[in-house]
Amino acid sequence: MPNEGESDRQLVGRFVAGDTAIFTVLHKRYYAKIYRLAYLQTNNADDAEDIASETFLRAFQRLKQVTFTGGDSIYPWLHRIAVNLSIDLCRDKSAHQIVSLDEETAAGMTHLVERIEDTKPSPFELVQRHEVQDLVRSAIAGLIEDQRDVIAYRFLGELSLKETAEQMRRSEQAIKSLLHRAMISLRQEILKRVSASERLRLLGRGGQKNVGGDALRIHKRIDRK
Amino acid sequence: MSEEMLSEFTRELIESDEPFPQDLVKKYIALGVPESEIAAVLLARSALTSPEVPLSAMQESERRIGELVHQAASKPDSAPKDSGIKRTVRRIFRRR
Repeated sequence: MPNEGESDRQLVGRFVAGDTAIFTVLHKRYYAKIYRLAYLQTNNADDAEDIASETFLRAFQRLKQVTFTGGDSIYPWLHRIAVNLSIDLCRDKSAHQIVSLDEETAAGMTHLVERIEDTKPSPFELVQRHEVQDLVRSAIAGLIEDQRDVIAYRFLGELSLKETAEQMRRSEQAIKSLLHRAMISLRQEILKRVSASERLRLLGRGGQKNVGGDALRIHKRIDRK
Repeated sequence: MSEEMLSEFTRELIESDEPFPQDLVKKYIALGVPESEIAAVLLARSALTSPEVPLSAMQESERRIGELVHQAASKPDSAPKDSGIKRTVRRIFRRR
């Protein structure tokens, strides 16, 4: 019987020994994380679904070849498969669009990234708004690769500092510095996107709805197939 | 120092599994971590624990994996194979 408390390394060991049904435990454990990683890369639910599904099909076929480079988690290995699939899919696409925020949310976000206290709407409410989450994902996708990777490993894969350091072939201290720089850059990217959203909103005002609408369409750059 | 504490805050936030653990936020503000950095961590964590995964997508993926598991179980060659040396030794003995 599959034991959900077993480590990935133990489950892979059982898979290699012939218990292929054990793969369903790994699928259950990582499907949401890989779907969200694919969504981060593509900003499209259908593409995320395809990539997540294909990632697990490939993982099933290649699981016997998996090597654990530090830690017991197969997340980094799945992460690499999913990212490669996303790159293939999105090679000629510009997936992330300017996210539209209403005035209250835009003001709240500008305040929140300066000072958490006294933010309105409350920080609790803001961080859970879908449009805020969309904007932050777009900001993360806009970071340079190593900053994006460290955020994905820590926040999505929930790898420890040690595991992240091993994956990225750096010291733990270097990962702490990288995470720090990534958060400073993320804040700047968020502010840039809030400003872009503000500009679009202002363009759409004062009887210039069409101008705003056109600008929105231009900026959306929907290059999808 | 800020790097160390931001890293600790990140670890505790992931463990807390809450989108906005007020006590934790207050604790690290009091420890001197800039609010702007705490906010960036909170926003990153929240953005990456969303969106909700469509149940139908997960079930479809599960179904496809189930098919592979079934195929692997019904394949006669899915059992561990003998090494080449063992097969050669058997062949030699069969000949005699």
